[in-house]
Amino acid sequence: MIELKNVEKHFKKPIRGKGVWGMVKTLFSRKYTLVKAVDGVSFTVGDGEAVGYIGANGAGKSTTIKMMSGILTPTSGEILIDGKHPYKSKERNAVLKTIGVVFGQKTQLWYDLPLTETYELLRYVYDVPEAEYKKRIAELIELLDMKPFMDAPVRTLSLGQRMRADLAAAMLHNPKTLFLDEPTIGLDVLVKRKLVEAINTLKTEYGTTLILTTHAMSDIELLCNRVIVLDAGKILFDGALDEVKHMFGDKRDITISTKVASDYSGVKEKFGEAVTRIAAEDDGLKTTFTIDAQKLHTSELLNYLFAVYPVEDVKVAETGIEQVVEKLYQNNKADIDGIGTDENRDDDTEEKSEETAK
Amino acid sequence: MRAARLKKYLIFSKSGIQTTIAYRGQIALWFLGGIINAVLMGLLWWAIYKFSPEPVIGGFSFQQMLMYVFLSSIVGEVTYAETMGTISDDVRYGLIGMRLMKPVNYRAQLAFTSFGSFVARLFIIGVPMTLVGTLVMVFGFGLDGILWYNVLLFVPACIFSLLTVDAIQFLFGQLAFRTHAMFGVHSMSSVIIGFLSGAMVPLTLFPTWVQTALLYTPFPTMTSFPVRLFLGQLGYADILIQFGISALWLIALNVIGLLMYKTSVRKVVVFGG
Amino acid sequence: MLKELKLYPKYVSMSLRSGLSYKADSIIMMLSFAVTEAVSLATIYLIVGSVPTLGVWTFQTLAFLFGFVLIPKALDHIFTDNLWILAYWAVRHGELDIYMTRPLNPLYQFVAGTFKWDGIGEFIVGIVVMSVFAPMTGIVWTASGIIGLILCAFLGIFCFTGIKLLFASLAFWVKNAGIFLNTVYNFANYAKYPVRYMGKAFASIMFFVIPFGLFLYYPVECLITGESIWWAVLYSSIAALVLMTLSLFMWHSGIKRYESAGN
Repeated sequence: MIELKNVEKHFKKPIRGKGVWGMVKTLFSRKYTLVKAVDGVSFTVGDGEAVGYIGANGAGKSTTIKMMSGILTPTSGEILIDGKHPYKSKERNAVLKTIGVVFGQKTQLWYDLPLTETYELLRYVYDVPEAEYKKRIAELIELLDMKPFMDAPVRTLSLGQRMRADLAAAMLHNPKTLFLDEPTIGLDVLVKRKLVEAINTLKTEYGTTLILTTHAMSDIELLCNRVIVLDAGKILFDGALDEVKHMFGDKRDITISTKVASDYSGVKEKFGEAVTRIAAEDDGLKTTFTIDAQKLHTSELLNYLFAVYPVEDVKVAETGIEQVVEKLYQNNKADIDGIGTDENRDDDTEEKSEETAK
Repeated sequence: MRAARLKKYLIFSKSGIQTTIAYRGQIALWFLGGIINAVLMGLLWWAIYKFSPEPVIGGFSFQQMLMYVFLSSIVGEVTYAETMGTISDDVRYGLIGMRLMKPVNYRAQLAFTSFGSFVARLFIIGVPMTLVGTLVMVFGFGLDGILWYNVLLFVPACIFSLLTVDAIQFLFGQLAFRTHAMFGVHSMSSVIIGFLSGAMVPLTLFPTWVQTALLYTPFPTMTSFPVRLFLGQLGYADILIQFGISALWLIALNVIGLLMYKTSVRKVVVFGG
Repeated sequence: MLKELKLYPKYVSMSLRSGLSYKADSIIMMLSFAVTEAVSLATIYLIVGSVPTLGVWTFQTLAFLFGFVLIPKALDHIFTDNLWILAYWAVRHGELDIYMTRPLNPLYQFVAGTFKWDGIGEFIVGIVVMSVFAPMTGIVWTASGIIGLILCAFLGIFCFTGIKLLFASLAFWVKNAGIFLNTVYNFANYAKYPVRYMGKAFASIMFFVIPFGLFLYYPVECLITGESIWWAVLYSSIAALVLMTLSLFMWHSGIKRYESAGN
């Protein structure tokens, strides 16, 4: 079980002076801006859960994952993984043996050596018994389809191959919890899908608890049953994936282009409440239908549109993570405004200058 | 037509000046390191002169030796060039092919950039530090023999020094097309050049036959010549001969460098950079 | 601790095999170290050659000192070269992340992963120079003297490592500590000179502040003046202990404020 209790992480950014003298002064001065990257976050993750941790850039997702995996020490609050602190030197080894970490933008593989070399090393680092190691590596090679590149130096692997290899490295010691920080970043659609499927298989196969940050809503939909949304270091939402969908609707935007403007009142008549919005652009040459995907299939609407109207081009868009966050943020602000407080978003990056004599 | 071409290259000098000014904080810190080194060398010479039965060693009084140590570190700082570093970066990151396609002579581009950086360094470090150092040495330590026309000649001597540094770096830079270990090549070449040019010990302390041999090489141009000129240790004839030798070597080094560059470029064309 | 020791050969072999693709580079580096040291010795010869003696020192004894300085320097270089990367690069670019997530000492992983065999060039130059000049120094060689000197060289490795770690750890505060480490490390070169005669202020710095003089210069001075080298062994032990404690303390307080990257 993972528990976060009112965790905060602040970064001090020195205020840099200009020129030579400024540089020297920066070294000795204590003037800095305080940035609260994570600002009072609490949640509990039970064994076997799969949690999607989402938020805009700089919302504090990575910082939280890095605190949970022993890289960063919280400024205040407490993080417990099965009752132990990952950032305390006495307890860290015990905690780290039970977790695996994958960073989309960093690799833990030895750059100039074949994969097997890193895996052998990790076997010793995590004290995995030889028989178990052999069984597990065979399974992982099979599951992640790594046979073709097991003997090539890591520097020759493609990004997709490298991510699978990194995933295997993190799973070697059968961790109870797997942390994934932007695992699909930079991958093209096909490779991304394959990787997400592989993660899903690993999760069901080994019952691993999963905590994942990502930009792509589709990753979350495939992997997670719970979502935590973060904004400016604070939790905006914490609940089941279905709940998010329910709250904001599982919406699709279908945009069609036509040569002439048409009257679409027929659409509304046919589908009723399932079509929530019809918006025209370009003098009616471009029209966007927003539908509730739980009530109406995209294909149904498309079939109807193709049959009735002279459609030239079609674009289908899913409600993205940015929109969800945006909506959550608006809701949150409306709530606060309702109570009558006037909170400003920028308060989280407060400027604080302290002059301390040395 | 010619003026237009010159104008094109002066843009590189301008960017050299701007880059140097932008990094003046870094440069000042490195220069501080150089000053510490100079002070420690000064202390070593102080010990040597204390134990020496002669007041003059290798033609240098103690005051002159201190000035030599100080001034040679300034010359080293002012004539610092990144020619070799630029070539090896361009080759390593595959930019060289793009550079070759531009209607700009690569060699000239590097030289003009170095010159721009030199001008900036001359005004940020060279002039003020030389001024302060000379005043301190003359009025604090009793250094004599500094003459105004030698001080003026010091500037063209430094320009010759820079041009030689740049030409030699361009020559060694060609190795970037043949090996990846440019860090090793760089440190090895700078140690050897530093030693033979007199940046570590005045060349007058070398055995006579080595001194004679070095006279006909481009090495003294880089440190020994400008500093000894400044100190007033060279007569008119010596100065004229040295400038002549330096000029001949500059031509020779550039011709060799360009010939080597041609074969290097052929390599890029063949292997696609 | 046992696990770290047991894993060390594994790390060394991985590092060596990693380097195989860059063999030519390593040989050029080795050559470059050897040339640098040869030039350094020649410089000492030219400077000291201008006077008959420098107090208790002659060129021959200084050359022996020169060789001795290279031994701990080279060994430290072979084992802990990655500390330079810590100072210049690793903290700024968040490259400690992966070591922090494994159940093994992060400092150990970071240092053990790089085994710089090209430092052997300096080591060989040191041994050769010492062997050539040892008979010309006039030192009376006793078993006690030789054992003492070997002990001093051994302790010197830890002093070097301590100084490097101490200043490289500054990177947790200033991001790029390269210039500080570089400036301090350069002082080691001056331990090759007759430190005691280069002014009281400088000698005090070299003995008590940045103690290169204490663990590099002093042992050889003891041999030359006939003082007991066991004093040098004692001082070197103290220096090694203090420096290692101080630097590990710096590392530990630094790593707590490690910010990773991308913030």
